[in-house]
Amino acid sequence: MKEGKGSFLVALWWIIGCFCLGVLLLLLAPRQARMSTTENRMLAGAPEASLETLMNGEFFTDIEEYLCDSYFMRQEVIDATDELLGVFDRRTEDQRMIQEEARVNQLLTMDAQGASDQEDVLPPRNGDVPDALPTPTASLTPSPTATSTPAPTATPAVAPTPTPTAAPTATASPTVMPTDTATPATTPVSTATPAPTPYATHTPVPTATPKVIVPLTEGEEYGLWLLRGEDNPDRLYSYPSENIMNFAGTLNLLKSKLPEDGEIHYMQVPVASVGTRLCSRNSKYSGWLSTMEDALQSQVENNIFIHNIPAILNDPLSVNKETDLFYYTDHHWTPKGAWYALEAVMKSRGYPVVGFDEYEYQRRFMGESDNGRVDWTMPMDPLLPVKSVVLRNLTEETDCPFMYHQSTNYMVYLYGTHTPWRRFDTGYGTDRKALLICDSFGNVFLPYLLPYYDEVHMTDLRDSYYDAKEAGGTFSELVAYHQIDDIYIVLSTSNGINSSNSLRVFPATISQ
Amino acid sequence: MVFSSLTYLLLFMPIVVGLTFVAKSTSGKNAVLLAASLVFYGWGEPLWVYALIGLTFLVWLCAVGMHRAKAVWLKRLFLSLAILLPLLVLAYVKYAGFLLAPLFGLLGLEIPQVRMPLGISFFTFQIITYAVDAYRDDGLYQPSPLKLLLYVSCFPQLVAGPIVCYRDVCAEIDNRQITADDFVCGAKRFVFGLGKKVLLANICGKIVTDVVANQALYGMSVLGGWYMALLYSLQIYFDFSGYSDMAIGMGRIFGFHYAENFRYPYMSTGVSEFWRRWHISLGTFFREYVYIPLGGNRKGAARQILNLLVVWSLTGLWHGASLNFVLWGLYYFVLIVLERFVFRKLLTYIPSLIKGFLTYGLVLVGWVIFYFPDTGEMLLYLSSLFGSGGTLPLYTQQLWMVVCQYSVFPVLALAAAFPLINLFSDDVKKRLRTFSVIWLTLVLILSVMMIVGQSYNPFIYFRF
Repeated sequence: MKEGKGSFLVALWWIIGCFCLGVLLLLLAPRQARMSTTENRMLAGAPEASLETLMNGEFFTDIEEYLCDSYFMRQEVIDATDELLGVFDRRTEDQRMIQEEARVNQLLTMDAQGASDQEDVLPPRNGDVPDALPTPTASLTPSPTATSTPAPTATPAVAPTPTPTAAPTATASPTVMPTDTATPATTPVSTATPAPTPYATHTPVPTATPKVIVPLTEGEEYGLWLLRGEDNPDRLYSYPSENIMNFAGTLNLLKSKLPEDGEIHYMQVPVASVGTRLCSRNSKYSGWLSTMEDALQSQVENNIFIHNIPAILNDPLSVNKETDLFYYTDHHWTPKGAWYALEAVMKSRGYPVVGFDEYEYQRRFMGESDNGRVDWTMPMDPLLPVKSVVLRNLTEETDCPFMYHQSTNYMVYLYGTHTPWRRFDTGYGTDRKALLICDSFGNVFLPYLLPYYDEVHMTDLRDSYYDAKEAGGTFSELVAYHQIDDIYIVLSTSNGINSSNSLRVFPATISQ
Repeated sequence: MVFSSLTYLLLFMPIVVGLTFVAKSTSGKNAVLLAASLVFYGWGEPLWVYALIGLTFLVWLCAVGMHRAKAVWLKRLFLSLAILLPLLVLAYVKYAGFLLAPLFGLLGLEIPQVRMPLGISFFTFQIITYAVDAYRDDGLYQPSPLKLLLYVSCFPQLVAGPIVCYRDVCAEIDNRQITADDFVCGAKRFVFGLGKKVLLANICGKIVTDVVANQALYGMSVLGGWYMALLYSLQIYFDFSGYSDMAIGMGRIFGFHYAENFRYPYMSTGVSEFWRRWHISLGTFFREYVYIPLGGNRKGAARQILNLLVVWSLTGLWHGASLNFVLWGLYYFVLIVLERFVFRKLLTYIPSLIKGFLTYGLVLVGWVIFYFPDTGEMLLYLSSLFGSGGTLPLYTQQLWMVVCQYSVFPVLALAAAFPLINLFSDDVKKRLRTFSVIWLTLVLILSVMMIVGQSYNPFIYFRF
């Protein structure tokens, strides 16, 4: 059959269009390997041609991977194809749930029976996990070994009671949020509960002479690198000195809101796609290095502590090859990863550390990555009953689950993020209150803070999360009203230094 | 390199097509195509490309010997060498492990592991067709080793067929014209095949892999067994026929007119007919180069059955070096013998529609044998198709959810495996053809999107 001129031109443009796309990809696509937080893996960089890679065919497979991974608007393209396939999906929500449950049960059965000998397919068993999965203990009271008999008499100075401008509405009746019926972890602190021994008692640091801060050299850059033995390290993040100094100013401003002996602890956590690169058994990376923390530490005042999370997690990940510090199907860190950070912070303060094994965890299937790694959520019970509420209008309380066991994703921790302000009453009798400023990475960290404070407050200052009107006061007013002593800041690299939240939103909110 | 990859679609294909059109003469086009073919093959098999060149050259030398030899015995000697050399290489890389495993096991030795190069079964057969054609007809002798290498290595059909007989393309290798019609038809056929492969075969394959790999999760049931067999039949059909479409399309763009490899095989009303519609080039090869030389059906029923046994054993073995492929070949041997010698008259009384259903059912059983290299698993699955003696449920809830998850997709895929376009009037068909470039443009865009987004992209027939 004779083809028309139009058809010829269209077919010709198929070829030309494909070629243009290919050339543009080669010219414009990023050469460096980079992370995809949504896929939780490293996207391929431009392959290097060598005689070896050419002869074994590796170069040719790498270039296809590179083209796929660096395709224009890749995430949108993948989302669109998923949407397209979703058109056929006629399952009801119930059917989805049943299917997921069955899959979980199958994996659990296989796990229990040791049906698979591939440690990459199923979560680590036997020798790999005992640190992460302690034997459940029935007692909710702190283990005697963990309490290092702090001196109960040493009471920290308490900030004067502020007078908030917004009048508290004490009569406000709380709206009950979904509670975890399976494991009622949200138990209000009972007055009958005997006062526990506090884990740590704050000893005020003697007032040091004011720190002399030498500004960083302008234009200098600090960063986070993945190390590759003797080869050049892969630079993942770059932090200009200007951004570091800007953020240091925010932390110094924040310090001014606290009592004199109040402390600020800042932790910037890499996302999972970086962390999981270190712990894979055939990882080409030998470790990671972050220089931002030291630079930031040099720019902040006394009693502000910058904790180097990459350094803290380096050994567990790259030396011990602990595979459960970050998720494979989610960009967050796990409770175990967060616990390592807590351990470092508390040791730096001279406090005894509550062991990771002292909590009682449950495991619930969370997801399976493309390469067969299975993730589990690990909701834990607090050592003492905890009251968890969301606060609005300063005092309007709404119950909120401490752990939301029904969830099969990261929402399980603290039932996700709740604005504008959240409070956890612990009843440890430490006479000290902390505020955790965080993004979602703080949700697995917070439970470990509880034994050290009477109350732990939590807020998310990212854009559109904190609303002074809804909270019943500005940030400064709330810090003063709740008599916050210490502030912990836990942010992922996505929301840390360099992000618009840190550079613009946080200073604006904190200064109010 | 595979056709359904970004490297091919965005870089290799446009460059080669462009260079081919820049080259004015046939010899220029041949040079471009030969270089491109060696790069194409070397892309996936950097070392085996030398073996391909060497083997072709040896066969060419044998053909030179045949051409110059006066004595018939000498010609036959060269022919035997030309056939045996590629067959020995094929036997070594593909069947040594399978055939020698029991012997090596007895001796306590380890069989040397050789990675099977892509498409070796296809190009071995092409080399043999040249040797036999050159022996039968001296006029087909190719004096240029480079042209012979182009025939053997021509990238559109190199790694997954169709198996092109030398006599069908020798004239086009020497002299061919590429018209605008060829270009458009070829490009359209290529995109059509790409869509079959990426949009239909890969999705069917994803379902099959998931369900079969998780039998414990989905549970075994009678309908589930048939559903999976149906989906696998669609996967393998769209996978292979899609690749053949792409090969035929690419060949057409370069001026070659390859014969069809599939003609809606699932609409067959008999097993013999199925094999006249499925992988036609392989059937043609075995018929012309094995069955007929053995005597075909000219030497009585017993000899015909023996010839059929040889052909179907070889057909099974050609698909792979494992017991299930041999059983699969023998399964068709039994069916064909029954169809031709036992039920021949009875079948004439059965309506075509029922025969069609029966044939498709038998083909599905065949695909189950084909799918499982493990005989135990295969027998378990086969018994599930028939209820395992009443111990299996008709269906399971888990499987029903898979059906809901993909809902009408398998129905659409099944419809695409039949020539439903013939139900439309000529006017509608004409309009569909007129606007084909528009919907094929959409297919091309969707296919590229799917390639970007999916890691599941295997060509089943690469391993043959």
